[in-house]
Amino acid sequence: MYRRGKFSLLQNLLRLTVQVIDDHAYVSLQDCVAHLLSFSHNFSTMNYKRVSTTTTVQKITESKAVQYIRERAVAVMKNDPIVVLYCTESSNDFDPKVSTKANRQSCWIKTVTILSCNTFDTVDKRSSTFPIAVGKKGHSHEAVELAFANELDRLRSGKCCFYYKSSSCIVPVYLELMVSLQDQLER
Amino acid sequence: MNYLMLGGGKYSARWGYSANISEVHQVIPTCDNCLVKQKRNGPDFNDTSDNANKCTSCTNWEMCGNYPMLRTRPPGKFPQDTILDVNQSIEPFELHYKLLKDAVKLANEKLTDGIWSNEEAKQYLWVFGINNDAVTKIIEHTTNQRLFAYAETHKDSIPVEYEVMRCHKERYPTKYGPWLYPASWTCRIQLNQHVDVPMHLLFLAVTKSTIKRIMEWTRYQNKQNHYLRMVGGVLETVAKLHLDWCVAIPMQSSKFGGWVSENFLALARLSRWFFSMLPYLRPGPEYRDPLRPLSMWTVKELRDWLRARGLSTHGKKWN
Repeated sequence: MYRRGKFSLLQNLLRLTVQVIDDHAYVSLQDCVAHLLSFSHNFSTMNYKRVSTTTTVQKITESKAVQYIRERAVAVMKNDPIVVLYCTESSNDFDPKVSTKANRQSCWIKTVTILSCNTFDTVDKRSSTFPIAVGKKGHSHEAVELAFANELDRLRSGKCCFYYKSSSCIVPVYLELMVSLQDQLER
Repeated sequence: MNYLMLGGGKYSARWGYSANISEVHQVIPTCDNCLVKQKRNGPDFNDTSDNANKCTSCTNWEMCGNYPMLRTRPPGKFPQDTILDVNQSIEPFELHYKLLKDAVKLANEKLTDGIWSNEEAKQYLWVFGINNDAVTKIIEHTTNQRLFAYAETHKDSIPVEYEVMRCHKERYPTKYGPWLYPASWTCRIQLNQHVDVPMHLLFLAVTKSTIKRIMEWTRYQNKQNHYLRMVGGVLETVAKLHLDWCVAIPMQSSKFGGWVSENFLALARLSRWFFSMLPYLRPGPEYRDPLRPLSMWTVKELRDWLRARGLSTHGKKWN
């Protein structure tokens, strides 16, 4: 009822496909974007204009870093409407909650938060944060990093299109990594 | 992930820069004269692009740039052919992935051609902050390349060795080519996009350092035992509450074995409470030197004597 069978709960739940890469559970970044856009979040698909740099930066979307992402997206897509997103990645080691002692059977997790580059778009960070990979602490995460880098490259090409629920159509999406949050050991 | 050294490395104390900070740390902070100018004229008091106006005693927190005082002697076996300066010194520079790739490529070429020794390559890559794991692999790959090239040229005289190496190469082809750059070096992420996380800076750097300093002070005041009991009691009572926003664990000793960021976060939340008890710490029993002759002192007595004077207690008893 829950796990097996055509009508089981697990088979019919909306969830991302998990693949195994070099002993890590890995979820495709493109699947995460598709998942996010399949809900009714309002992401603008209009052409972007440069915001004046003289105004005080109050939001991260008004920062130069995000403005440059928008400009690069426009340069890639010319005049076509596009959803421009940025993401922040974070990876760190953690101990399982059931562990009775610290630093035993520790794990490693990489998460990605995907947000809009448009100042007026608001998305709850909790609903746009996805665990991308989980593995064991101390193992080489190179294979995961490589897969993630390849996906980022594809999403920067402007050739990735996804179904967009709000406008009920397929839209091209441009996504860039803005910042990578890690502690010294992770880096 | 990045194959870069941690902050403890001689040339990697500051993330994203290569600089021998231990040698130049005195000239980096703003000097008194510059501070006065800065207070009077604001942060743009001095145009650093103008050499004539540059301060000669400080860099005003600049890490790179044309400052002779930032130049340091390279490590002992640093390859001389890479030093451009006539005074045989090297200057700090900002790291980026292209620079790291160029450095690895150069080291690979020089090692394969036999121009540099392994030690020279190690010292060169060390200055770039590349960690030991990567350096070992780079040297292993270039050694394999060089040995295979030699065996191939002399395969008539050493046929067995050549055959063994050929089979090994067929099995592990990547080990006989240049070291493959990590994924983070080749994708379009820049090194400065890996930023420090405020949580780590606050709770692993500031809180941990503060508590260690206080612990050191209590040790010199002979109040450490009472301090540990007091802090341990506070943390234990909070730990029993199982609060998810304040995960305290009892402090067993002056070491933080098994402590993670969230435990230091709890410590930071509680710090005003238990630091308020510092004035009420009671000193432990006063230390007295043993009355017996020194040659008859036990190891414990010797350690206590050293500890009472704030000296290291490591080492062996000399007879």
